[in-house]
Amino acid sequence: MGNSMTSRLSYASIAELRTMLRTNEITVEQLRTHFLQRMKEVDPHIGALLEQREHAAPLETASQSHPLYGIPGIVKNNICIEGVRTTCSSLILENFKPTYTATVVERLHNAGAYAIGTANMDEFAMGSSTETSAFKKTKNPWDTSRVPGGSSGGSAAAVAAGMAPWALGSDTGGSIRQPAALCGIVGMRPTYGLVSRYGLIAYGSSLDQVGPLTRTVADNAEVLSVIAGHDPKDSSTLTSGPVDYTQALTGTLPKNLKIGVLTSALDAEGMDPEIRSAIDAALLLLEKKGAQLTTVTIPSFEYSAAAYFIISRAEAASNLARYDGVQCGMRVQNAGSLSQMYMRTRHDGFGEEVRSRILVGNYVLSAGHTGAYYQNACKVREQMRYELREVFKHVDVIVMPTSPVPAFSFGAYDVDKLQMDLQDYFTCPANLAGVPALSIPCGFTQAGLPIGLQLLATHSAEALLYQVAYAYEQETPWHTMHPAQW
Amino acid sequence: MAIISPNEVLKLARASQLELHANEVDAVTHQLHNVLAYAQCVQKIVCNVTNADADALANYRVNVFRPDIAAPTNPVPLLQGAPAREGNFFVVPMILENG
Repeated sequence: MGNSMTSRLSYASIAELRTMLRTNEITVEQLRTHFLQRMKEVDPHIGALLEQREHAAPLETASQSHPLYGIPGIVKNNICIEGVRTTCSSLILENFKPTYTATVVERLHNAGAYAIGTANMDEFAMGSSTETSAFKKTKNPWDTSRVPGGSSGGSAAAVAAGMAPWALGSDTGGSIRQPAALCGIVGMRPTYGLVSRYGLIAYGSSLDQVGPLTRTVADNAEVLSVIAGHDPKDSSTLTSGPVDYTQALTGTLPKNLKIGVLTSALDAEGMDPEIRSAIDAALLLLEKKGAQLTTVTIPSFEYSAAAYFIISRAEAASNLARYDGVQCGMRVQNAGSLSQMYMRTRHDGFGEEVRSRILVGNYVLSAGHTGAYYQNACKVREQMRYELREVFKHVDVIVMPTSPVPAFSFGAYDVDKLQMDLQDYFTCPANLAGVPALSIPCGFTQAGLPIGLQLLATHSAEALLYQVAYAYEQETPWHTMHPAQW
Repeated sequence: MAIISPNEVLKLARASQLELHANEVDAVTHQLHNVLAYAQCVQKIVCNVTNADADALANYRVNVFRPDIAAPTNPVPLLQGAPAREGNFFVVPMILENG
């Protein structure tokens, strides 16, 4: 394969790759070989992947008639694939191989796609930088001295560096959108219940959703169209049937689109001024295209991060109670008793951040504290849902930054871990309310770091988000720009 | 004022089935205090959601049932990942501690 073809393939869209496959410009095997080679060349410098799957390929029953036939992608390592090491980047699951495949992966397989690698992540999805992984650090392809964001940092970095056209991540408090913003790509956190969680290793079960990370809005819509929809194996899924989200990509804004601008977010303390400028410029472009801008307020926003901390940690404490060295995963040897085995396994198997979140989770659920913390957090959640519902009676989408800062240096928040937690400040409200939220690139800082714009809409309005995002994307160059080094 | 004391952290760790080494207690106590101090602000929330609003918001919260039909299960794949097994049983250290 010539050099020009090689460079075209790495950053080609799903539609471009599909055309090349259908016109026999390239074969499935050539494409597979290209991306395996790409990973071998690039990933030693980025560290996005935990495993490259040398023998992965489309199902034998797949064919050109399937929408994603022959298109490889990356799967975050908390999404089960039968027989594939699925670790959640934790020592406690170091050699765990699931006995079943997640519904989202099955659907991608049935659409002709396949997982060519598994992505590094923050341990058990707890973090905003991928630094808490027990195995390796992932670097931001735009500046390898900086983090890719998290917890889906491996997924985001792999797509940004051209190692695959799509990746799956999971989003509990922002873990798809924030790394998408920091890596200059598109990340969708769907409506709670739109995508099956069967086979997603749970962190916060009322907050978790699987979603796609891609370089373009159209690619994102294609992948979501495949993975979304009711699943009898996940009773929290909505009863809605399949939707083709690519139909929303008209290139124009909906008529009379009303955009709510959360100015309290733009004016928040700690907001990077370059991010503020980029968001303002994006809003100006949307206004020129016909959108009406209006300021909105969400009073409970002020408490949303705190409520998210409490609820996510409470649910995590429960979900992670199962990891005790009995059934699978790591077990410490020479424990004198069952109780010692539990305690030592969980101490040695979980990292510091995971242990801290379990302790906070059990604290806020314990007698004497549950009223002050957990029950009040649930009230905040209810209030957030109510306020968003009221806001969406007057506006169609809400715009705010995805992240208050661009990609930060490794170790930036080692001392002040609360500041690391607060990287979810703008993203966690969507998780609390269960509404869909999309992050798209909207510019770069002077230092060449990507900036992300976040769009929120009411429940099940993914098509609207894609329509607005696509119309913006087509007027801007951001999605065509890739890290020069790779 | 400290929200949580080192002794409380030790009790919490035991309840969480997490060993906590002596040289970890202070750092963990400090970290928990910081998170809990920030999270305390939820106590200021004024919830304006009426019962009618809550009902409207909750209209998606429906119970989901499936037929209660017994089906055969195969324990073999599940046991294959066990750190220690004997037949169809997980093997663990003794339950009762010595002394």
